[in-house]
Amino acid sequence: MKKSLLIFTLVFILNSNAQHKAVLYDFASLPQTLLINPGAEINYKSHFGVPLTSGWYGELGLSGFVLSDLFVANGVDINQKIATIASGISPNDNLKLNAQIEVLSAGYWRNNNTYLSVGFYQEFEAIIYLPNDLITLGIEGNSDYLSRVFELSQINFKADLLGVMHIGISKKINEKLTIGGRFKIYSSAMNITSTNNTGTFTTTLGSNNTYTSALAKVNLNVKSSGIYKNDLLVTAPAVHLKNSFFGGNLGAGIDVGFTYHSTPQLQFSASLLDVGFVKHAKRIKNISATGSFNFEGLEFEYTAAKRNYWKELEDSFEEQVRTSENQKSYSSWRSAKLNAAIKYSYGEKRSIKCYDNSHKNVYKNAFGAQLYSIFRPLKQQFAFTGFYETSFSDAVHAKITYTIDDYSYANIGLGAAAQIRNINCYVILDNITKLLDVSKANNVSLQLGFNFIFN
Amino acid sequence: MKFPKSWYFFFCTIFFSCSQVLDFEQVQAYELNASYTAPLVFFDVALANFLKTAQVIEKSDVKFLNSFFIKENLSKIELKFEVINELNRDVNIQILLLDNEDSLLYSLETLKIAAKNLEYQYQEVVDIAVHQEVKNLAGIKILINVEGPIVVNDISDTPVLRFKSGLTIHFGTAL
Repeated sequence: MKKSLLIFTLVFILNSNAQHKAVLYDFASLPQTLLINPGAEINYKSHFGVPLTSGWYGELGLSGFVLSDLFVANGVDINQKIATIASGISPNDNLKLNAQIEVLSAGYWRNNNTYLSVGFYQEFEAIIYLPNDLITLGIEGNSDYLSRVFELSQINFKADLLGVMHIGISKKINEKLTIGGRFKIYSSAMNITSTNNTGTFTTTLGSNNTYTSALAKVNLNVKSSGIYKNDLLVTAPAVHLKNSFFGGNLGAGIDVGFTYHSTPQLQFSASLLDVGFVKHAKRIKNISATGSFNFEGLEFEYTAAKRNYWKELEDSFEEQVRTSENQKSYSSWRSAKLNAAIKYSYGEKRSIKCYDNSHKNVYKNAFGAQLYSIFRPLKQQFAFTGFYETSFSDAVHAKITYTIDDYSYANIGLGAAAQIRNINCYVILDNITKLLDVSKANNVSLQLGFNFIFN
Repeated sequence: MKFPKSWYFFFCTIFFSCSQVLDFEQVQAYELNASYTAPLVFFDVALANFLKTAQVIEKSDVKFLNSFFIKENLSKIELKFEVINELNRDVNIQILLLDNEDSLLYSLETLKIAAKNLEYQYQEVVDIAVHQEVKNLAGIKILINVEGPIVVNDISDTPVLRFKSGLTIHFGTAL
């Protein structure tokens, strides 16, 4: 039973993705689309997400190699596999993790043109760039790489665990334009960030001695909050969970967006999400190291004076490469996300009943393109998506997407949403071509959720 | 409401998605084969250092191996020496590896450098499987002997004995 649970969990994790919600964006008027575009159009009167199950998503993305490169049972020696992978990755390759659980979600039309929505979700987000110089140094050493400059600037990582309380307004300006905004209060349970590092490590043939090892212009820093308390590692999940509910490291952010119909069939929409920051003021531990150090070896003097060469070396290193630790508060920016889309609707027209008891004509089919971008510590990441959407009936909708991003050139996603009486549910799969062999996928995903929708 | 066929496809895909056979046990066959190179000891000595005695001695702590991980995974230590002997005397250099109580762990082959030999090189590899005690390396002692008597007139010479050394630590153990 335990084994089955473990396998199910692993399969779910490997199948889960949603940071880039290409399929969910503007799909079937789902309540969760409001979290991707607060200016999305809403046709129902109100919604209420089933607590803890209205929005589940997780993401595991890996660029540079895939799981099967390492673990497939093909007779190739594991040492050879690791060496091949290490030589193939670049400093832009990364491992990203993202998980969100919507705890509460609800919304209703406050008047004929203003839809209010509120909710709370918890999110874990992490990106770790793969520092190929340091990986090479770690698994091969420096002996075969004399004169190679090992870049410490490749150390880049960021991880956040936080709770997000939000309230949003979607305002229908006229039949063509809907705009929206969402205010968010972030409550960080855990943050660790190391960015903007500099420095190199080099070993060369020396002049005074056989070799010279040098650390040059080192400026390394790691900032953390919520991970240590009184110098002790906080390991209890309950403590982190508690801290995600106004645990002291608070921040604020906004989402904005719009939907505009230039014609009844042609629609433009865009959104900018998570423009905000968190001020980390509690349970802080920051560590830094700065300086340069040249090591030519221990210079024996053969004089009568007794010297402690090793101690002198250690003192000299500590003097020239200063390390420090402090509890100073700091701010971290959220990873802002940008969405933009153009959508053309066509085909059979149907009339649907709207929240104000009026009727609206909608088309059975639509196609279009979407752009997604997220601001990462090292560089902005982009994803381009083409999509086709169709409705099988008033209650059943489907969408297929083709996405090109940093992790895949052929990511086909598929989503379906259905409403049975007041119960709405949706399932979205990403990278379906890899589902027959998830170990070969850089990114595969599943999103699902259940809502009550009232009309 | 009739349930669309596409939904069956959906759920089947979710629950029957799979992967080719992966063998996570392979990790146990991974061997760390890294090797790290660093400078060790260097010095210049002139004949004046040998006026009172034919042998000079210097030693220092070396704590390169002062880590459990290194001790556990060390496979060999490679020591590399270069000597430029500008002196007009033959020189013998003895290099001793010591533990943290200055007790002898390992004695390297004595370097015998002829007078005016400007290109002397020597390399010695210490196999840890054979010399487990070297894992406790904590110090190095270098003794220099100059052949023949030295008189005051000799020390006006400016030539020196120039010594350089480097160390390469090899790991080669399954993790």
